[in-house]
Amino acid sequence: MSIEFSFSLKKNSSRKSNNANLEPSVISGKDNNGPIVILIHGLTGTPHEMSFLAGFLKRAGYLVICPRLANHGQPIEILKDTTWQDFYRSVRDIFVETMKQDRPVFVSGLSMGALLALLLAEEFPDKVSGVSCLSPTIFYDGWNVPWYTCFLPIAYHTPLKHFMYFKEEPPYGIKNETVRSHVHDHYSKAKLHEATDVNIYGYPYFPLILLYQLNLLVKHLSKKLGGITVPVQLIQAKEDDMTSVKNSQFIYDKISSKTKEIVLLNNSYHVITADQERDKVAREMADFFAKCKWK
Amino acid sequence: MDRQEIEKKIKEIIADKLKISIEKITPEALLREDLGMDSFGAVEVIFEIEDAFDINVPQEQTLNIKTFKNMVDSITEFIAKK
Repeated sequence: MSIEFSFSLKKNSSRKSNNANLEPSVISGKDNNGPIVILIHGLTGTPHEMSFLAGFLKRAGYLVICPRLANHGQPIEILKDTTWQDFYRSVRDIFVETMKQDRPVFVSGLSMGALLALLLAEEFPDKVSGVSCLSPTIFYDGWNVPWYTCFLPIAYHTPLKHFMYFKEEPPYGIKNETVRSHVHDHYSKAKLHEATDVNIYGYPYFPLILLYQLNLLVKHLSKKLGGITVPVQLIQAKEDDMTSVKNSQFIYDKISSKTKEIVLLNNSYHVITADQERDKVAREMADFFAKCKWK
Repeated sequence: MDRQEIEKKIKEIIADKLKISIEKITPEALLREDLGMDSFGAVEVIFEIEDAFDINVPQEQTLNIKTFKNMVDSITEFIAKK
């Protein structure tokens, strides 16, 4: 992961969005009568990273909604000024809308998406039937996280956080070499302010200020974990390059759910929804939801 | 099953899943740009193809498929190896 600085003084309003018509969420299985599953993508990711799970769950009879987090798909200058509360609002609004359908609702998320799923479970314990957390991100402590990351909290308290970006570099959270090389073809050519197809591939750059927002979300959620009582499944790869399995264990130990489980994967990295064991992830999730009592 | 039958079946699946007319699906049609197949559509199409031909298409094989012809070639190859 390399660092780049951009001191562009352009105001957000001066940068036109070229993705004004991005759909707020992707829905699969509109004709299905089964429970609803909300699949939340990760920070700087896209609903497309959940597409395999969505297809699998749709075939299992679920109505699947993949919300697009606030400002994801917009130019990075717009995304970077988004707060964790904006991200949460994106999923909360959709969740509240689904409640009108009077069907059981499950939620799942990848990385930061898993934290947003837990927040929903804490806020709506009587409505969420179960949660599946995929590579939940509390601490960036995976084997591929640079050593200097531990000093970043210092930068959170300086204006530097507005100008600093990390360039995504291999393995991009993906162990599967073919998938990784596909992502590499796209990311390696990308420039900070000229990234294309971010609504499909996600962002090749990660603004430091979003790491700061993630940090604020973690602080907020940490105080709420003890109040979570709904069934929770945690799925994480033993070789997760971004966040170690300690993240799942931390959540498992703090939540008050009577039904909770950790599933460890042997052959994937961080983006387990698109990696070598995505079939296993989908099966484990579907099995877990089937075991939960529907609300 | 010969190539023509395979091609016909795949065409039907794509038209059904992507809700487009069969006429639009030409051999050189680009799946994403011309037929509007995003990752969600691709997953549905592949699942349906797997069921229809009783095969298993690995994820990595699907990544390099750009056109309808590429897709028919790949699937025909998988069926032959079955």
